[in-house]
Amino acid sequence: MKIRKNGLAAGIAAAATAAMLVVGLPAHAANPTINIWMDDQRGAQLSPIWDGSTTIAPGYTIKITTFASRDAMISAWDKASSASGPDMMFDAVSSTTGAAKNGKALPIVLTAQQKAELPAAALGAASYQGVQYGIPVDVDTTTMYWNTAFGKAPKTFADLAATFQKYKKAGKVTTGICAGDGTWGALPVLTALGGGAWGTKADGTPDVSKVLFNSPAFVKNASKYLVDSKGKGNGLFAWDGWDGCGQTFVKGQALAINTGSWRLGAIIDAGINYTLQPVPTVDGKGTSRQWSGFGSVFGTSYSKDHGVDLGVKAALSYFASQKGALAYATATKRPPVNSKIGSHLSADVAGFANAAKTGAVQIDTLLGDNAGGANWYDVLGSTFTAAFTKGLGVKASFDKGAAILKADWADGFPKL
Amino acid sequence: MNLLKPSALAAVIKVFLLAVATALLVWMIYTAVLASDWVVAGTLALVLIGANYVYFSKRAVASKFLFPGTVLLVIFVIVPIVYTAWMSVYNYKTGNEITKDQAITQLKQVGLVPDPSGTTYDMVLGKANGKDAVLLTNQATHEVSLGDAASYKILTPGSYTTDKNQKAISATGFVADSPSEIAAASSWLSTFSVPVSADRYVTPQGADVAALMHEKFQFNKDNTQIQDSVTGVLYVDNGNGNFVSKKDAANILYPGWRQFNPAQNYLGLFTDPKLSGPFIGVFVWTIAFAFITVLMMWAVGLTLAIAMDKKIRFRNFYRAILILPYAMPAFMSILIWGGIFNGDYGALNNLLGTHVQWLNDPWLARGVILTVNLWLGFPYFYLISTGALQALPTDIEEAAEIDGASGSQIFWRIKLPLLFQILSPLLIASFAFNFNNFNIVYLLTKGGPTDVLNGQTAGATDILITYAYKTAFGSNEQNLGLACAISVVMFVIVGALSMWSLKRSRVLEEM
Repeated sequence: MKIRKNGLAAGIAAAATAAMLVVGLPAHAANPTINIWMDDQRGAQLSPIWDGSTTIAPGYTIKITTFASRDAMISAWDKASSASGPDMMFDAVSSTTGAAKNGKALPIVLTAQQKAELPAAALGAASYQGVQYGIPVDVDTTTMYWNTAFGKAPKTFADLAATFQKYKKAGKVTTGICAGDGTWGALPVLTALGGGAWGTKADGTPDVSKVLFNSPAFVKNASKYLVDSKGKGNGLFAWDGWDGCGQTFVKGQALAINTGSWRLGAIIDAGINYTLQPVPTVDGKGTSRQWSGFGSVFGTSYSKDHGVDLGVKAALSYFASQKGALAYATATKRPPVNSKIGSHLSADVAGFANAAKTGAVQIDTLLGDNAGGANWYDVLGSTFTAAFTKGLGVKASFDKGAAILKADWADGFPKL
Repeated sequence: MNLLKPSALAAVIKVFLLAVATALLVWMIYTAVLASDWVVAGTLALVLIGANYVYFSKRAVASKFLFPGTVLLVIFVIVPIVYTAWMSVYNYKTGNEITKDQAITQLKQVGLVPDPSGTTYDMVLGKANGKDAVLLTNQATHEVSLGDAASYKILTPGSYTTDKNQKAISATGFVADSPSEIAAASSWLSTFSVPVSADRYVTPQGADVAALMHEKFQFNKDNTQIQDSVTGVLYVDNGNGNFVSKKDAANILYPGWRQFNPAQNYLGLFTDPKLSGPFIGVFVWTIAFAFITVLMMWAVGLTLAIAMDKKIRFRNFYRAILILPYAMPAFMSILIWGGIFNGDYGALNNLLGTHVQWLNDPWLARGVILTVNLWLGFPYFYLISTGALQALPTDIEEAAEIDGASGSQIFWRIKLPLLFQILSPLLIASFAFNFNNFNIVYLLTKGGPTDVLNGQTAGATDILITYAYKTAFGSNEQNLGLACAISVVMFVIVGALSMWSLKRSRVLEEM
């Protein structure tokens, strides 16, 4: 029997293909798998304790997928389809609005106990249009590192300004206090001088009708301490972030920097000796405020497509529980949101948790809104540039910025 | 031993490579089918059939060479272009990314909110009357009930037994699931709910806990209206991808969906003041940037080429130096220049003893962009001008000299027009390249400065490509449809220029 050459070749190719597929096709796991995505930092810390776990959500196996960075994870999240998307994600609560608006987040129901243990403000930050989407698990916040080469940390902003003028005159510093994370880290300086973002009602919720950004007290204090005789910034305050004034600080040419624990290693490596405290207020009374963001864990709408949404809800309950929160805080060394586990924390984690207590809740639905023309971060950059770089006047510049922010918040508040 | 002959070996390699390619394609088709991605699966199947036909057929000789390139061209060039154009006719932005069916499913889920009473239940999974059912114990009152997908019944004491925590564990007519059945229950449990009243349901929140939920959003039959039973607000489909309050258009429900709206993004570019103002400004600057930058680079490149055309000492050394900016990775050069021009810490201000905000002033920033781009681009023009100069026929120049033309006359009236003719396709290509020169703008100024306080939304140095990028990915609120429309406009402009360039090339070929 004569077999055609091409037919033989095709037969061999088919056999080879079949062999490769037999080797390569995935076997189906016995338990349904809950796929959790997280960034590389959390991934390295949490994979050893939770990857492969069958106890967090009984009947399900946890699979942790780690991304090289948060940006990589968000990029993958943006492109995810029903087949490729995760069932759960660890990310900043700032993801809540986008994920909810795009229908990618799974609505969840909190138990009375969870509501009691997790601060309302943190829960509010992980909700959108009144629906809860995430369980906040950690606090991201900043504090002021004071370079002790310039003496003890000042008790008042006036002392800070005087120390700056003294060392600037001596040619030793070019910057007073640096917002080490850009405009996000500028809030402590605003609040120290009597300004800030929005007001707060008696129940702790935001009062967006009250815009503190251009408050008379702030305009007066900023004009007094931050501006030179020519009407431009005197260098006491810089806001161009880690690559700008942050490098000035690590070179020892800035008195202080406001940033988080994530810069600790670089500051120590630079040989800077420091103390940690809030940015001092004008009269030394009260305290300045910095944004407190939250890390959160979300269920995704993909989990429903994958038929594991109930397992995801069980896993979310675990992360909201004291047991889950303590395991998370111990592994990540991040200050926890759960208020009931403070006594079980190690000293370093408890220290960061204390710093977080003076934080102002970062409400991204308000800060990220750009209905007025730009969001909080861009408004701050332009306002600072106008007031301190171009010398267009503190009051005029901050009034313009406040008008934009007011429109942003009026638009964003109903969506909370 | 025939296998060792070159032809046999080639056949084995061919079969092996095809087997690998086929396995890979079958794998991808399998994945696409699992994801119900039928277009992708179908396309891959066509590629699979095409590849096997072309490489096993003796007739398709030309296709053996063209097939891979054609497939890659379709996948990486044509599909993205078509997809971009397709998405540009949708209202496709943050909040409007999914399909209408998905959005309605999600809204139904979002609209099922916890009952104000906060009632939660301990739940045991099982069967009653042969149907999936749940035995529920109210965690607050310990009232026990039995429910399935169609009915809800409160049980009387004595018809059930409880554990030490007063949780019901068995009941008359109810058979609890075994552990293996519970493990498999997710298949039905995630869509299961027990109707308690017309708008209240008990829905599972795990395998052993449930909550009383209230149907806040009540949809009409054809899913075109939603009544909020709590606030009384009536939401209607606005025809543009969202349910909005009938009385207050600013009251929008999310998620919305991707709505086909072919004119919206394109008309918006020219008629919506929020878009048209920035767009026209950015468009004008893009043209100016591309034109001026090419003109400057060519002028400097040609001048240097003419200078280096003469026999001078160390000419090879100078030539090598001139090419150096071209040899260095552009992004590094741009970042270094960014540092040099930094208004606060930059080397230029330090050297001059000034405090000029090079990148904060619109015109200075534009000047900086042009300067840095000149630095990056002149070596290319120097190279091509050198080549073109050497390609010019010398007899024309000699004839002009014999006719008494001066050096400057020879340059301006003979050499330059000839050079222009030779280089014009490259100049046009360079114009098209700089029209889309994302790196220089984004790495140096990020498109700024942007006068946010005076209502600007585009930066002074933004060109269309950076503006499109920012529109699509620059903030939490992404407008992908609009970015696609901008990209299509750019594609048309650059495509037209390229066509013109090709036409010029043909003219040259005919000379």
